[in-house]
Amino acid sequence: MIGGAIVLAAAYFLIWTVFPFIYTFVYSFFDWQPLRPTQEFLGLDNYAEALFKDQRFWLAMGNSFEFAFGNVVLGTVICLLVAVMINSVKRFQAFLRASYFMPTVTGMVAVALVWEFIYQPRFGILNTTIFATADFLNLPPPPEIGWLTRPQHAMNSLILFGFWKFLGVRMIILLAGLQNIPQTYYEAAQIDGAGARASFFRITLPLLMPALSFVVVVGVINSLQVFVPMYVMTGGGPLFSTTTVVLLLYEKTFQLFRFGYGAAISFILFAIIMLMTFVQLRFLRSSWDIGA
Amino acid sequence: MTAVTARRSRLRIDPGEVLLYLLLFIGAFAMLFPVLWMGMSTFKAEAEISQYPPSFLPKTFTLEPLIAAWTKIKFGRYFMNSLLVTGVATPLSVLTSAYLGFVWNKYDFRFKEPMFYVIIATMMIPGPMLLIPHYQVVLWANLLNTYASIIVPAVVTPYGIFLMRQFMHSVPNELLDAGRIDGASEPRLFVFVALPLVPSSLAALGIIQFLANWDNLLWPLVVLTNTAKYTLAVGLATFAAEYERNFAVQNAGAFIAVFPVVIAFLLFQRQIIRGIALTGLKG
Repeated sequence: MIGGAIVLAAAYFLIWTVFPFIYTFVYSFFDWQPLRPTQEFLGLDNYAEALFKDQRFWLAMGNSFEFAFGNVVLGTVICLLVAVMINSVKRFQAFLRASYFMPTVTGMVAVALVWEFIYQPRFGILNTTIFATADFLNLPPPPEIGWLTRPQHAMNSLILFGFWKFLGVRMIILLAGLQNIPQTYYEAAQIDGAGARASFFRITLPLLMPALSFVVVVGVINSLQVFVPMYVMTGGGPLFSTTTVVLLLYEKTFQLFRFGYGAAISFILFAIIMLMTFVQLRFLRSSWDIGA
Repeated sequence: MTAVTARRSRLRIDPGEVLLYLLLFIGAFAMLFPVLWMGMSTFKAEAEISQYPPSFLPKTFTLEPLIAAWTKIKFGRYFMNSLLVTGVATPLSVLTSAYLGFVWNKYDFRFKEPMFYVIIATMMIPGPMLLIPHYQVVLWANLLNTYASIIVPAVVTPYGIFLMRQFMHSVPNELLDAGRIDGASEPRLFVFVALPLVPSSLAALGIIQFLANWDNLLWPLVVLTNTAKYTLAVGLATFAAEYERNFAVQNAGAFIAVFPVVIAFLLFQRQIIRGIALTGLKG
């Protein structure tokens, strides 16, 4: 039982993670460009370029964190509320669950295209609804808002899209966690005279911690790596406002073919994500080892 | 009977409950709207899509954008490809996740913690970072342009192992010990004691893995050069890059990609809810 698990895990992670990881790490010290017979050794130059010379790297890092922060904070808090609310209603539960989960089953590329169409400044439904409302209230016509074409709006628009797209996955993990909490605990608490609020903070929240900490940790990791919405909806623009580190890394590697520099950027991003995750793991450790 | 339930039964309509339903339904509408809007727009002509004021239902029903999208993209083919890749990889990955999650939660062995940290660390590797060495591995294994090159790497997922390790907490150790005293082997305990206790978690993971496989864009884009093997995500992204200006056709293409999955989900959703209800904890 244990032996088989270790062999399976080791085979997969050695071939698909450890080897590629070392491969990339080695090449992050080279001016690695494909189709060249020999690769020039650069030492730490690629890293130095990203950290000290390439201003776009730090801009991209800021954008990545803006997206991750908005996505995880907004996502987790509202998602917990929605999960608890759905779990507490007696009627329409199936319908509500299905509705909130619906965006999750839609292909990312497809719905990114749909949202791009919704955000379109002239005939996108978001702006035309605003125009129509102003018309109806006899207000002067409001200006066209460039949800994806204005630097000050573009990232927020992507965060809203991410919130919509990822809510369902988080909700179903939290709902599964909520429903794994034995009902007898609540009955016992009720017999002891505990109200709804005490039940939530003393039973639900502590027992939900393994699921909740999973949602937060994985949420941070994943949202720092989000690629498709930016790639499809904004291409990183306008004025670089939605270029995340992953997009920058993709651009350097697959458009400029600077494999070595791309590898160095990806290692810096990896180090930052790892650092953040271990801080969170340490912080949340006691809570997730309680177990439901 | 407690004070809380006594008060509830006296009031006919609980204003808090009305507000709760109201909020939930407004939220549900907002969640559904983009997909509904896409569905409605699919049957409108290009001119109606960009008109003001906007119309929700199509005024003149047309299949033109849909036909254009269908003929310009080999969607039937892509759909079957996606179905094959996802259908094989998903159940296998749920099984390996449950197995590895169970082992890492319920047993003690040497290097257990360090190995777990390696698994978690794997999740932090940014997507495109390992694309080049992955391509190299597939090249060496002589699997370029095959379905296997997409399926095999998806069979073990660090995310799934992490998730199942968390959920295996809810399997009581006392129950496993009781099984051991009765002489059950460890694999039997896993299959007949642990798995039946976490059906909602398995269902949740199954959905998540299905969608991750269904949605995977970057890796198939790199490893598949033969358009006959394209998955839906790759087909759509390639199409959108070519026909970006025509919103009607692009929207119809998105509709073709999303519609069957949404329908399948609506059918599948009942099973999932029943699966969650089957845990017997909450009706």
